[in-house]
Amino acid sequence: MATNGGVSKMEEDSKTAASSSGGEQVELDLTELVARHQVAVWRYLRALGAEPALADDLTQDTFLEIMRKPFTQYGDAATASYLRRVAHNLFISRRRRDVRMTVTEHAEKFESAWVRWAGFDSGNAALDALTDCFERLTERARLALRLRFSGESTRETIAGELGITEHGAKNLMQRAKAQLRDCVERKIT
Amino acid sequence: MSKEYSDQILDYLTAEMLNGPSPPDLSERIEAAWAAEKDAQSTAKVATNTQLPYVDAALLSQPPVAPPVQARKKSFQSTEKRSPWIAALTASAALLVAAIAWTAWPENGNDVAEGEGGGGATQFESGPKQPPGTNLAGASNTKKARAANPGSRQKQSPKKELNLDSLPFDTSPSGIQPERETQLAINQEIAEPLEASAIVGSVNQHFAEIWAAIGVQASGRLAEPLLKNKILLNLIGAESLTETSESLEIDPDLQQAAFVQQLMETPEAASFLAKKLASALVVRNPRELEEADGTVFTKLASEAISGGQDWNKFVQSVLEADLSTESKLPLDVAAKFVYRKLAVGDKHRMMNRLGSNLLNTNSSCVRCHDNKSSTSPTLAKQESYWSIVALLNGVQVRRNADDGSLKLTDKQNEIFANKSPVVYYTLPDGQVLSATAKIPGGVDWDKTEAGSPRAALAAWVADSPLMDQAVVNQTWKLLFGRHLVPQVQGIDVVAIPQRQAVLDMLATQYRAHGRDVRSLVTWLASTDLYAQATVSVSRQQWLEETDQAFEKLQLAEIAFAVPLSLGVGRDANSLASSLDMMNRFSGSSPTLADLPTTLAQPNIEKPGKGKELVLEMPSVGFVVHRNRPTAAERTFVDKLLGASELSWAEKVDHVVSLFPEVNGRPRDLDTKLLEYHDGNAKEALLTLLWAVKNNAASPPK
Repeated sequence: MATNGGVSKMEEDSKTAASSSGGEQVELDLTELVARHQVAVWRYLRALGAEPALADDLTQDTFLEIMRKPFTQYGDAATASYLRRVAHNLFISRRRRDVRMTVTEHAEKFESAWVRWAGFDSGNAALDALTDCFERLTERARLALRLRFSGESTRETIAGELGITEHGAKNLMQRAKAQLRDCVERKIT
Repeated sequence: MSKEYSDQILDYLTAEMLNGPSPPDLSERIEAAWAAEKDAQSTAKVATNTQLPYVDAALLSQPPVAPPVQARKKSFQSTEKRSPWIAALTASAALLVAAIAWTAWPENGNDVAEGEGGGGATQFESGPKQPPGTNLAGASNTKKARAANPGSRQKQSPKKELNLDSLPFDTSPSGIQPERETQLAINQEIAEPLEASAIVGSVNQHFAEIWAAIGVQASGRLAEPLLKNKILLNLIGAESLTETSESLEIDPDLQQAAFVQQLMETPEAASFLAKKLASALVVRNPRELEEADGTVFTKLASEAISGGQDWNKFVQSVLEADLSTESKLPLDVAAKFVYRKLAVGDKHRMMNRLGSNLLNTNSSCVRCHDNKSSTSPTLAKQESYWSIVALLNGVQVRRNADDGSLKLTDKQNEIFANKSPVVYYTLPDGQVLSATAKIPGGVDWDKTEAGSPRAALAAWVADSPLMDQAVVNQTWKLLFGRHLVPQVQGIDVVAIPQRQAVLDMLATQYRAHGRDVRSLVTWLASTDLYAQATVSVSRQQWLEETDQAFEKLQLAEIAFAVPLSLGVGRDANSLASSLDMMNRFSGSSPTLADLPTTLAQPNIEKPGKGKELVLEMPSVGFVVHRNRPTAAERTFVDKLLGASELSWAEKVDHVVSLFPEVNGRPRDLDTKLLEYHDGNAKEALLTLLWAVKNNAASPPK
């Protein structure tokens, strides 16, 4: 991060932001906070269903929100959890304002799944595992998933490409995703 | 882990792996936005200080508005970097436009901090009250609106608000109306003290009407010697009428009211009552009062009672006393004992104890959501709960790992020295809000005359009509075995409005008589209710009576027409015994199957050689509810199980906390109940509900 006046201001503010609440606390370094957690917050928002531009906006708002309010940092995991909570709130608020459905109604369960998959390293380990597991899929399964996620092709298009029925394409992708999920879970747990 | 959410995360990660985009570096963008916001804040302060005639100072004192959105849009659409002063200039201009528009808007010319539905709360509502200029504020204005109008917070998620406490099996009208608490306070302020005979007569009359209305008959009056024995046992713990009358110089031939009055003037009665009230106030196990600090507390309480001191003020003096370790004054020692007992566990347990012991309110529900069926509208708001949590910040009890002793610390002076700490809490839908230290009703503690947050809370509690009700309800329980009015609406539904009226009357008179608990006990022990004879049920009756007969008996019990002594056996009133009884009685004995009753019959096992068959009988509550939770109870449990926001432990807590008088042991039973019901969560919760309900309804032996 550039060390201009803004940064020094952030650092100065960080000292006042750390509130006294009686427990052991680590002084909040906002610059460090952004550098350390922005990827995780952004990915979390994307996983919740935010489009990339919205994830950018809400990631920014999440950190601004943290900066506006007194905040005690007890440890990385607690901070990451709190940031996710704030991000989740902002996401819900935005969805409501846009009169759109919230992606998940079960914040706690989603949080629990997220912590398992990506809670400790912003999701990098899960991505590495996923890359490895993806290569272990059959060629047809990889092609189906590439078409689905890269080209955002319809199921009909994918079935046409693979020369199978639409139902067969659905089954193939479901099986491939189940394989991926099991493989990644084995690797990261 | 939920497969559904794992798949959602997997989908996203797969999309990122195959298609991107990868997470961008937003550091500079966030930095610029933050710098701009800070600059805008400075500008706003300058503007406030110069008191521009056309700008609403209240608005300018709000948190900054536009900069984050402005900075975001620019930096997202273009890589061109804005210098902070340009951003500040833009933000200031936006702020001025917004301010002018706000003041010019006819419907919002008044204070933004008005009540619900005011101008500041329209972020998620339709736009008529929103001035056009404030749209510039974007997301930041949401926070501003919340800050200006805290009452609007719950409105943000109306569709997902849990309402677990409006129990579906409550068929009676709600006992408390929103304005009732205020009216009660007014009544108590203006109430004239009545003669004791008038108060007793009023209680008798109320209950005679209740019994007539629900069609039950009182069990009849105890014989005089038995009544005197009961009075002695309950009020001073003595058993022999002759000996006690002699030693205390009381005429055993006096009438009920005169006998009670003479007895209550003795120091023995004050000491006995002090232990009972102290126990109800802070501990579940009376033996804890035998600790060194506990005896100091009960001694002070006894002196306060025998001296006719205002009991609420006495409790207040204890709650606001010095908690520092060096202080050895008796009051401070007593205060440390009280806080060690109140605060052991965590702050939420402390809140539960404060609610149920001092405020006649089950506060555990309000931790997670507003409680529409709370006995106190003031304390029904989740925000109030967390404000009190903030108020108690710094008071902690920790167990020493070496010797298991409890260590009390009070860091309030340190924590509240500069500013009130903020606590965060979560709405049912997952949104996080903050609360500051305020006494219920919304007054900041430092706006009161109290010298500390603790003292502010103590003063409010002692002066609250809720504490008057709590004292009356607890005293009633000491004499009659159950609360006059349960702290959770909807469980015990018999004649609640009428019983609430009696509670109000007694609480009002308790206050009017200078909160002298001796007088209160004298009134209650002088009533006809207290003189009712116990009903005994033979074993044969247990096995042969119909459900309808037991239902009527239970109704009479609930309405205090029959003193409750129907559970037989050694520990028939304990939770473990109730559960054990239920399990043993859940089968059907072939030899007894033809009896003309639908009662659950015991599984009779042949006794071992040389042993007698001992058949203990269950309590009436068990008999009436065996094998048939009501439809409403099933609906309640279904609703609870459907609340996916709650964990299993929280669901168990919810059931247990319906009955504050039941201690924490049922929480330990949930796993066993699950095993017993082969993992059927619904049946486990229904059993737990039955068990705590049955246990709570049984009086102490």
